[in-house]
Amino acid sequence: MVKYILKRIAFALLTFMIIVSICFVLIKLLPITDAAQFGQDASVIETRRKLLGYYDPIPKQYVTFLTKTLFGGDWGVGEQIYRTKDVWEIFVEKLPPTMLLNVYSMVFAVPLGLAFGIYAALKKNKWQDHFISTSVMIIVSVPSYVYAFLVQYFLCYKLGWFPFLMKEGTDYLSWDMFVSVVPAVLSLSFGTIAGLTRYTRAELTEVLTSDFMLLARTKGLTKAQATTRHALKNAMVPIFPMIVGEFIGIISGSMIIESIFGVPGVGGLYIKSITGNQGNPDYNFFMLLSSFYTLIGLLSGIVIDLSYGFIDPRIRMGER
Amino acid sequence: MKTKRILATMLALIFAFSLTLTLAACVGDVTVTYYAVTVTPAVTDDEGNVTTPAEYDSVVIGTEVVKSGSTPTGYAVAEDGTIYVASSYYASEEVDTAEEVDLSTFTVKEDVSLYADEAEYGVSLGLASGTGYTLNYATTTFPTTWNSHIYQTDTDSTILGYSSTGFYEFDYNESKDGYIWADAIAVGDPVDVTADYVGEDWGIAEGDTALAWKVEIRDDLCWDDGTPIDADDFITSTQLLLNPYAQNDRADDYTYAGNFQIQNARAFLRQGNEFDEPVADHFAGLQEAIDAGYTISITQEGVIAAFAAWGVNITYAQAVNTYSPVYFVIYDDEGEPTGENFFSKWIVANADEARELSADELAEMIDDYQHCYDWAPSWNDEMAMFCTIPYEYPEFDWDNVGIKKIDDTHIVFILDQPLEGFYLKYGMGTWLVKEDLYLSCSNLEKDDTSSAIYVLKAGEDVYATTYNTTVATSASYGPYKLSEYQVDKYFKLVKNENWWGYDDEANQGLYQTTAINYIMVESASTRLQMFLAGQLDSYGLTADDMDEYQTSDYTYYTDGDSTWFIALNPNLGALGEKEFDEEGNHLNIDKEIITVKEFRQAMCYALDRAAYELACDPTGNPAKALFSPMIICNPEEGIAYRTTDEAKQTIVEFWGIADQIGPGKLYADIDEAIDSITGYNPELAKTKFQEAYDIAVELEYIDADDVVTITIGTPNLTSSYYNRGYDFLVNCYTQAVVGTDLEGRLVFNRNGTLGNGFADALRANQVDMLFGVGWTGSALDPYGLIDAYTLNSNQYDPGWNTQNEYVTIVLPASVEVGSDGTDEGTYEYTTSVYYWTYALNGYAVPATKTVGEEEVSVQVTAGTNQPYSLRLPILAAMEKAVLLQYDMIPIAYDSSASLKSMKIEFYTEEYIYGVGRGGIKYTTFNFNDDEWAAHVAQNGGSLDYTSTAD
Repeated sequence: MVKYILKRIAFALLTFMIIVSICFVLIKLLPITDAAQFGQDASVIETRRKLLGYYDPIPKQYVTFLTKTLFGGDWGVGEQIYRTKDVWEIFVEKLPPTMLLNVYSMVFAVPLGLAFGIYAALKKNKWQDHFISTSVMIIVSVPSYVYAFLVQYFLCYKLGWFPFLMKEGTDYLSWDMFVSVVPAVLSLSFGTIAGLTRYTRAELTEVLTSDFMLLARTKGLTKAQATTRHALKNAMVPIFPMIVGEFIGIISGSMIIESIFGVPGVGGLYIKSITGNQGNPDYNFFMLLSSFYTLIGLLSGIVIDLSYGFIDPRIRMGER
Repeated sequence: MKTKRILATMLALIFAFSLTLTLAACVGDVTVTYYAVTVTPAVTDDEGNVTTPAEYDSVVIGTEVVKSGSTPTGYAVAEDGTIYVASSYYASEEVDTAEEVDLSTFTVKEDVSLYADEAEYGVSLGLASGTGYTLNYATTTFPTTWNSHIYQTDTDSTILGYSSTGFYEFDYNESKDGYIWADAIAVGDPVDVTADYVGEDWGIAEGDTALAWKVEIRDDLCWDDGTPIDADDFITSTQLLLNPYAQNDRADDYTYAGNFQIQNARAFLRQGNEFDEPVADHFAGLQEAIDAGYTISITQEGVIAAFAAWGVNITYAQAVNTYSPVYFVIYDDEGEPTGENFFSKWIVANADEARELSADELAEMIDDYQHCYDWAPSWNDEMAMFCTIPYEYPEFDWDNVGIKKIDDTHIVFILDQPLEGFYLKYGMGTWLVKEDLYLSCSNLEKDDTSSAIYVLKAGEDVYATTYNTTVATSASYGPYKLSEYQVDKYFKLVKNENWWGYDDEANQGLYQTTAINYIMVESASTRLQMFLAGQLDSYGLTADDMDEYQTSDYTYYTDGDSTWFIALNPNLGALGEKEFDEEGNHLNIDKEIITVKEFRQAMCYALDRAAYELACDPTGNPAKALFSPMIICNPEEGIAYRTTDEAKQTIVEFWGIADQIGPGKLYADIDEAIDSITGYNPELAKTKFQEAYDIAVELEYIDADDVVTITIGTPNLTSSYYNRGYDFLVNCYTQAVVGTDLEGRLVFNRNGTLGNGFADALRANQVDMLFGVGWTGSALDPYGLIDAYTLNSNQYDPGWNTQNEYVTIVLPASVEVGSDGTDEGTYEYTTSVYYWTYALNGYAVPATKTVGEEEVSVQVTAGTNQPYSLRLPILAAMEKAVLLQYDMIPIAYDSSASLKSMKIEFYTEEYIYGVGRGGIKYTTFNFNDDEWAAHVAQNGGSLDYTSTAD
């Protein structure tokens, strides 16, 4: 197992280097917009760009990136967005609100999604199942920003129960902060609840009609015993990694929800780093985000794969 | 079993979350009222009997709504720092003593009144929370650096606007219907001291004026922490601004890119840095540069610059199409064409790329040039103009930079070009920074205290700074200072108690605002809801809001200084090329008809501007000319260009109704005529479309089976303005050609992927037409702004060669260079639009003067040192020339509409350029923060802003 994990990590690192290198080359290949602006001395901007190495050959820039940034840990400062600010500090400052929102959303959505899914499966083809399935279809079909606007309009404006925006400050675990993110959490959760409900229902329905369930019942188990001891356990094999995957998504923000509810998170940061300022991408931000999310994605892949083995002991990674 | 536990845990989590939500929604509010109490002690007689009972006068100094069980934030602070709040609640007529409590343990469980007795306890009452006057604004973009040396966006400058003060600032004039330049940091007007600097050092001759100015600054200036500011700070700040290691973005803005050009600022900034510059800028000829060992390069940009220097203002494409086949064919020694062309052989096709030449290549290139046309004798001079070298600027002594400290309160600016009056004061920006904080936030240091240059610290290769990016790294010398800041969330400014202005008598009773909050709210619907809920004090109306709030008493319309246009670039060669596919097959489309002026004229008349605005931008106003009503042509007196006779005449002449004005004619006067203009004349448009078609057929631009196909460029496909605008224009022009030979043969397609480079796409003829484009930011200098329409480097339509467009203007003889003022007559002066533009920029340009039957060659100039009465006719003539080209078809004058909160009052209802409606200085409040909260609550948490006077 250890050997397998180490092998996976080694491959992940190799993949990481390849992806990061491709990202670096591609972003550097984008044209830089003309520095000339009406009534201004373009040479000032050009000189600054030159000093920052914009016009150096890409291989030279790549070596600098590897030595100074990737292995040196200096991600630099914002050159086009968040100008002059340390990109790592900005990223770290913006990550907690996103994570807070996503954690609350997951804590709310996962139990509900599973509960609805299980209930619908158990009541298959009855009115309860039809009601849940129809609701799920409607919810899945409607974009999350529609919920966001509805939640904000009714709960924040009409009823005045919650503030319009996430509270200012960094007291993320305070009561006031919690109250202020409730509308955003609700808006984010609907889609997850619906998705998980649909998936759980489908998996559990399939397991409930398996031969071994019939065998369990013929052995004398009640329906409840057979469901909890056998059906759920088997249905969880594909569902649990999905939940793990959702939790890993905690560090990525929803651009639209964050903008509607004033969450100063990382949603939209990636796009902003590419669109940059007047068409010029911010290389430092882009490479930090590319590297970070690539690494997290690769590591989460390993974790998800390993989680199969923990849920179902029959699955053994790397064993022949 | 495990599954059961999982299910139980899930249910518990759901329950907990639901409970939390319920609690969040139901938790109770209580109100805390703060009173300041003045006690008049009881009067007793000698025997101790009370003859007059004590009197208590209590004043509500604020209220606060808090959650039950939480701690109030309002309190009184004694001079020794002790915090006082009352420990229980009382009826309002009762008075109790305050006592010291531990705020962290003080909780409020029901409505409570807190009293503090100043007389008895010597308590200096702090302003309780909620009693201030706070302005709440939303922002959709967020400031990240408000360092005056490098900030880039308008949003960045928001904080600077509050935390800094200029030498001079706009203020209301006495009648409140215009502006004046009032002293701010400066005391009195600048004094012309040019005579003190006559000599070779500064290149100033006897008799010169307006080149050196002494400015007195206040002696009570200081930073928000109390550190004094004097003339040394201005010198140090300039050194930091122009630091060659930093290459600050704003270095050129303040010191040499505009009218206010400090001598040698550019040379100081550039020292030690390498720039690709024309050989001719530094050497007499190309050979001298080669001899000096420089590497020679050639670029498209260099070639165009050389053409411009030779007086030929063209694009590179025009040079290739027009000049290259005639003047740059390479001949052999026998004078026979070799089949090669200098342009195609030596200049790289990529406009951004420089071709670096080896010694052999250079020799061959020189030889080729000598075999072109008859350039052989002058190759050394001419090639020096378009070949470039990587020139490193030498060290430059700070003593030669034109800013000098005279004493602690006097500074002298020595300028490159004469500047005086309004433009002098306007050009004097403030780039003041707090040196110690600035250095602690950057990787600069001074290795030699006598040096004016701050060098990079050891191990640093690129300048970096965090000055003015957070509360801790910010310094203010304006009326407000930054107190809170969270990136992409909010920032708050509070009064800077150390600002000199609060002690100034002129400001007494002003600056009522105690705090300013900016909150990031990207969604317009959220902003509107927050505004209606009293949480924002201004809301910018969108097109979707106009039905409801268009006539509201609280809606304020503000004209901008921009005009938005339809832009076309009628470059015959480039348009013709697009009619063929890659194999050279004609696509049965026509684009060349765009070069027919009647076609563009028809497009102008076919546009129903009022309907366009209603559909796309309801806050805008239909445009009738190049410059908007907000453009000021005489900033000294605040005269708007559009109100002048010259500008009015331009409009009526452009729209062809000049001969219909006067007694017995269609219009009684010119104003009535202008009011009648809508710009929409579908019948005339049809006539012009037909004329254009006939001309195009005659010139063989279009065949019977060709379809006129126009590609419209937009930055994206998502903007509602561009989507609505595209649909409107397509429908408008499709309908406009009905009944002409173009009916059914005029089609449009769209390139909506151009991003920020959409203007360049038109210039390069990648697309045929843009709309909703224009220039902004030069409201006070239309004489400079005209460059954008007439000079090749900025034009949307570089296909229009302004050197071939001649304009005759009647002007006084004082326009001539060397005029001694004795000739008071007026004459007709003729030169190209290109040269008139340069004349407005202060250059001496060649012109023809008509004296009777005779034409005389003269030099004319009309820079900032000439009276506006002389410059204005030239500006009006330029505007008319641009309009009559019909490449830039005006659609709308920029305008915005916003709702104003009931909480505040503007100083003037009318928007005055420079001062707006009073700004932060003059804004007054109808409610303090608590009163406002109560007012909103009384109205059910939502205010009605739809009311109208009618």
